[in-house]
Amino acid sequence: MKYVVCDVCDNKDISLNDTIKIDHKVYCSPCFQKNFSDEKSLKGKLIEKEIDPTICSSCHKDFGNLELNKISAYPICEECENKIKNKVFPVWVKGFFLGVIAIVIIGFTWNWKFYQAYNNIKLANKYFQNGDFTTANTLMASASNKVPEVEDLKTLSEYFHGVELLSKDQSEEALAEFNKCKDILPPDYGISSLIIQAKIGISFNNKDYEGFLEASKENLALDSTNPVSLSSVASAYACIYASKGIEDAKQNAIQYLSKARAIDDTSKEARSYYNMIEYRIDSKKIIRREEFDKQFPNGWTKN
Amino acid sequence: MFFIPGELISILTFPGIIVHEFAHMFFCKIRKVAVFDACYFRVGNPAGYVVHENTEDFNTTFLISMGPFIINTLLCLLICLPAYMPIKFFNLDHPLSYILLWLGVSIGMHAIPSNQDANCVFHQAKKKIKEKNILAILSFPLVGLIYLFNILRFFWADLIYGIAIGIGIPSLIFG
Repeated sequence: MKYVVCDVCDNKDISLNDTIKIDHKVYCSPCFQKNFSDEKSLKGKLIEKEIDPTICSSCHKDFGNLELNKISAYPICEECENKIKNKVFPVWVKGFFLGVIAIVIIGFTWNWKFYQAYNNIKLANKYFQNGDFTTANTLMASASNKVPEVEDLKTLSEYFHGVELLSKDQSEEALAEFNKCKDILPPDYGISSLIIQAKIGISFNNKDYEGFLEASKENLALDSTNPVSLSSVASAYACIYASKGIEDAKQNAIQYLSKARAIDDTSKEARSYYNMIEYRIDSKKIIRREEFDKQFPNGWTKN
Repeated sequence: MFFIPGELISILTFPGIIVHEFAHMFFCKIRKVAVFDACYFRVGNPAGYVVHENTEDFNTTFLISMGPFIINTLLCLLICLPAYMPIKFFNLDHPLSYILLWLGVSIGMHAIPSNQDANCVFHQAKKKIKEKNILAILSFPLVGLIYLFNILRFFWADLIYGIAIGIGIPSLIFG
């Protein structure tokens, strides 16, 4: 241990570590306390703290006259130097950090299905908007299967399945799907309209043309400005005329057809449908749309 | 603005303090800087600390000082991200998801380095900027933000940061 003399009290046995230099003057602890009782009294003064190079700053062991190696400004004995340089994380800290890493991994693994479902929903909506109802339904069903605990997703899956079935003319199965979700889905999903369309399909398939007309008029009541709804009523009247020969039905079919034409007489889809209704009125033959397209790929013309 | 004692906040968010000190220590080990003492958590002020030797290497000082910012922020995001989807998108209120959010936000809350850490970077950056060190140039606004952030801690800036990283970023990604 190194000893120094206090410049104030002249004490010669003061350990170097128990002193402080203020403006190059050595103060022992009691003299320092006495002369600088508060921080303000030290303002503007040069403060130096000398560290005894023979005492380990870490274990405070006295090495007599042997001056120790330093780490930074601190004299450190060999044993402590090894400890400091090889300082490791305590076991509990390692355990804690491994636990956090495990939580991250488990969190991602456990919740990965939600991300997959989310991705499938996004894609399903995209395909649905583009009219690819089959792919949309497959993706939505997959999303629902991944997170079966989400009831809303199950409902959406039924809705998508219903739309897909309707697009494939499987109206009866589509109606069953729509009935499952009709009380859950909000109005903007247009479930009422889809149910009516399914009923139209079922009536047509069962050759129940009065039912077809009733459902078509129900559909028209939802939106009287829609040319598809108007032509659907015309189609139903055309079927009644074709099957029963009722002249009024023919006049009504022509009347609704002209109303539909007044709204949309340009789109290819609409013109093709009108053409089929005209064929039905003229020939009194009721054939499906696909069959009509097959028979008259370039459209039907009255000879 | 309501006041909650710092010690209580430390107890409630203790994982963040442990990770904060871990990050300092981790970068000390990586950069081979001697560590004299480390406390990863205690009820007191400061709630944790790492005492290490000074280094003249600016990159090392920067990494050690900013270590918690990197590690705590990253962990906060990684922990909160999986919990966000079932709660926000699927309305599933599973307790485990909320535990993950608490853990993530607690860690995120302690991401910002202390003023002492910022001081270390600032003093060395002043010297290094003369050498046109890019990191030193970049560190000036960063240090300024740290000082500002530490003033705003009184207004719960640390909690806001944790929530912004843990919940704000996932909501930006997934809507």
